[in-house]
Amino acid sequence: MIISKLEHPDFIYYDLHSEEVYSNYINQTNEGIYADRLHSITLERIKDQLSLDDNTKNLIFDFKNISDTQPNLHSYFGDLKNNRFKILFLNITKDLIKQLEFNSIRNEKNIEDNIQVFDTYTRIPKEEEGYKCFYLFENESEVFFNDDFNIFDEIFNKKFKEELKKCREDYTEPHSSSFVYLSSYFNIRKLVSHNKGFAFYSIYKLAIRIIYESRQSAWKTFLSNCNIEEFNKPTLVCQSLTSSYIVSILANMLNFDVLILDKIGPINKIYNTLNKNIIEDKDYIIVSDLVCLGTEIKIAKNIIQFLGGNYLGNVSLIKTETLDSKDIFKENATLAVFSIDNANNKELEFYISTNLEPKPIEESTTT
Amino acid sequence: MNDIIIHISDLHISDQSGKLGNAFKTTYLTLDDEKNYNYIKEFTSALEKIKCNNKYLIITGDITNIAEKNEFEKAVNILKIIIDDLSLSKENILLIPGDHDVHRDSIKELLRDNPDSTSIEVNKIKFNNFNLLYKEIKGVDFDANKIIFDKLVIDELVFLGVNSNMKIDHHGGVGYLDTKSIENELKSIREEGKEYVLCLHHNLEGEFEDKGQWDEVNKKNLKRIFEGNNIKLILNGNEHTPNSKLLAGSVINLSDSGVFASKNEPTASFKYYEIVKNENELLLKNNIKQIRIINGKSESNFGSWITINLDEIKTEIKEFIFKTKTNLPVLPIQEELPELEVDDELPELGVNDEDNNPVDEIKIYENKDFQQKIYSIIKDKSLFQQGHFHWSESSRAHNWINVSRMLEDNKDLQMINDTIIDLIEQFDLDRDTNLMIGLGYEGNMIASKASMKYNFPYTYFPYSYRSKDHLDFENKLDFDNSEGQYKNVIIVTDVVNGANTIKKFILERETTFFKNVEKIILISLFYTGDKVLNYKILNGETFKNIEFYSVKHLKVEKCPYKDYNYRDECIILKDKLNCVHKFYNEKLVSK
Repeated sequence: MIISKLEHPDFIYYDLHSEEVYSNYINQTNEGIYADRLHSITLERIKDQLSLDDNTKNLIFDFKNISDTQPNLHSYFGDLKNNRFKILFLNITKDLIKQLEFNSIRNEKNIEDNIQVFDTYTRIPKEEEGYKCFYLFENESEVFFNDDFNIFDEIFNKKFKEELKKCREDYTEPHSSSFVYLSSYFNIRKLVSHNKGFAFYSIYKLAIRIIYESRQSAWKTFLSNCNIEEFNKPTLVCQSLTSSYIVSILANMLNFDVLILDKIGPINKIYNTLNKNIIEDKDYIIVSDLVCLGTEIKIAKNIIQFLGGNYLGNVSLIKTETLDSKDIFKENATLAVFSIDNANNKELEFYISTNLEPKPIEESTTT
Repeated sequence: MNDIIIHISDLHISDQSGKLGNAFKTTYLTLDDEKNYNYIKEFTSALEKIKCNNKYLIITGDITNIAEKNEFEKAVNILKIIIDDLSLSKENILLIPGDHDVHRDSIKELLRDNPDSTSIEVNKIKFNNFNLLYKEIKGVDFDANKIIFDKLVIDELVFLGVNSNMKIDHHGGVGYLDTKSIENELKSIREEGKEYVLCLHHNLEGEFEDKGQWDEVNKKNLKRIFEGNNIKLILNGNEHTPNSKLLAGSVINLSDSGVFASKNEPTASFKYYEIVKNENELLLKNNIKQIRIINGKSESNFGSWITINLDEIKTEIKEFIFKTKTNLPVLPIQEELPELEVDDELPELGVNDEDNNPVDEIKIYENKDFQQKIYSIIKDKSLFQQGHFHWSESSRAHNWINVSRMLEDNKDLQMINDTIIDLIEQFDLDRDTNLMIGLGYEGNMIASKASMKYNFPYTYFPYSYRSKDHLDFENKLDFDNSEGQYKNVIIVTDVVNGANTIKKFILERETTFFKNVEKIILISLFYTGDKVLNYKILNGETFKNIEFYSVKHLKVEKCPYKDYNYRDECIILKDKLNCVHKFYNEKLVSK
């Protein structure tokens, strides 16, 4: 199975780091997203899949987060070239180009630049010499990619939206945990059931964001320049059936421990007499499949804090932006891979309403 | 003070001349009486320092090296010193023969004289020299043709002397017990209220080799017999390394005391088990002593017997538990316990159906590495809980395995996921599968890695007792099977007892989907029911098409009272003697 394949009329895109993480996962090498060495087993999978589908001859391999390769991987790309595939590498260091023995290729579009790479364990970003785009051919007229093109926004997000539409379930009852009406629910289990590869890729994206956020944002820093094993790692908290699936995979990717909060109510009776499973001053991240109004997150947060744990934040595959992002306090913001917002909720046929009269349009535009 | 059982093995008392056979060069015990005396005196003085009530001695074989008369003569001298120093009576000793106590030249001579000798005659003659020792110490002849030939009774604990050398001949061989004979002998011996420990020479599992020194086919059949006869502990020797472990795929403990008089590696060792017994529990506390040469001026020529801290070594189980507060009935004494109540709403699954489960067809998951790790998590984190647990009004137990806590440590979670994959691959279960379903939070989490590894689709489903906590669409499978495209389905869950949850899922909640399913493969982390684990035990009147595989069998005690009176009769619940916990919302269900 290939997890990161994104199709565009002009090319097919593969995210090699995510594919390497997937290879490690199914082959029980539990390195998670800290794996940064590309192996032949990953390229074998891609090659096998490509032989079945060769409609598009333009291939993009994204090397972001890959800092090393197994020796002798040159032949995989060489074979693809011989099969008339046009290949573009994204975000690749000069060292890797040399390692893969493609440093003799001359193409004016292969422009040397500083690219962002990440420390294997701490994910601290640093600059290194490399190429944002490196074509494995010399004919400039065959260049098929504009380096301003945002793959995440232009392809991943659109694909996610299409997958989400398939998950929509009509719902006519009042919302079960908040006093609002919802036009529909999104059954994220359907995404796992019918496109588990894409679900895994989305969880991978979330894992990368969690680590990135830990570096960049107001989240308490839990990573430092020492060995990952010694970090005070946060615990991932699941509180629904779908989030238990996400957490199980995220735990592998991040090497974080897990807490099943769903049963905190009843199980607490036992743990109070034996031992509590929420540890005082330990950091907790609540994981969801979809955050709508955040009611469940608040309940979970209160339980964690009541028992002495430190609520670090919440993450989700999907969040609903009922407020403008500038109106949300950073600490309450959900870190997500996909947002349902005013730009797409109509297309997704997802509406939230109350029994109150809506604010007149002319007034809302003046505020 | 408690009683202790001293366990020694593999003395290999050896004639160092090598005239009659190979000498065991690295043993302290030879034909030299003086050296033997000093070594044994060090041993008995170490034991005299242990504060205890009565002492018992079990020797699990290979007392000599080549079973010559001169070696057994020295063995008599050695044992007499031990008996005198420790004030042991002959009834308090079990002497088990090992393969090195089989005199191979005697077999050859018998066969030279009479090539048609029966196995009974061969068995008798091969232990003639061993019998010199046995008769001198025990006062009776050794019955070489009986599998269970002696017993040592300490209140409700019965240690059975078992001869695993029936297939050892002049060429050698491995451990073996005739299954029909051992089953019959165990049945004839068993008494209500007794706990039986088997004492034999050969190791059923190996610390250094996967299979142990035992006939592989025989071992699998024996596991079933041992489990069926509630055997919880086997004392053995033969490996020359002290260790304790579980017999793969079971909860039967194995304990080897190591080599008794080795000069080199592995270091000489013995064990003693302290019998801990009170109103609520019965267990053997495991202790190891090893010879360590520290070179102190006050030390003997052999070194010192040092107590090994079991916390520091991972190859030992600290306690062999026969009864705990959990499985001792905390119930008013009755002449006869009431019948166990099954879920009224559905017919009970069939019992072992002869047609479906022929005795010779055994498919049980085995990977002692994973199984031991999983058992260790439960033990180390105390996740085998006791109290009164309800999954519905009719589904109640006095124990519960806290699987959600098991999954908290990422390394454990990944290891358990890897175990599920290992199980699938061991039986090639992925080959024709069309869909896999994770049941409940825990089932969903332990199946997550397998869900990504295999090409067939995956989905998950809430437990029936939690269905009211979920929205309607969450309580329906996302797959339509009206065309019968999902013929083979794997269901992964954390615990299976009577399989009522599975029945409800298949027969009530997803009847339409499962109507067109031809084969269901049920995989669980734990089986907590009463039956002897095998892959067709859930088949019967209700189902004909379930294959069941479980990583571990850990039996839990059900609440033995009937649905209509358990609230008044079960004192754990009534008087809240321990944790009382419901896994479902009573109010929601009664709605």
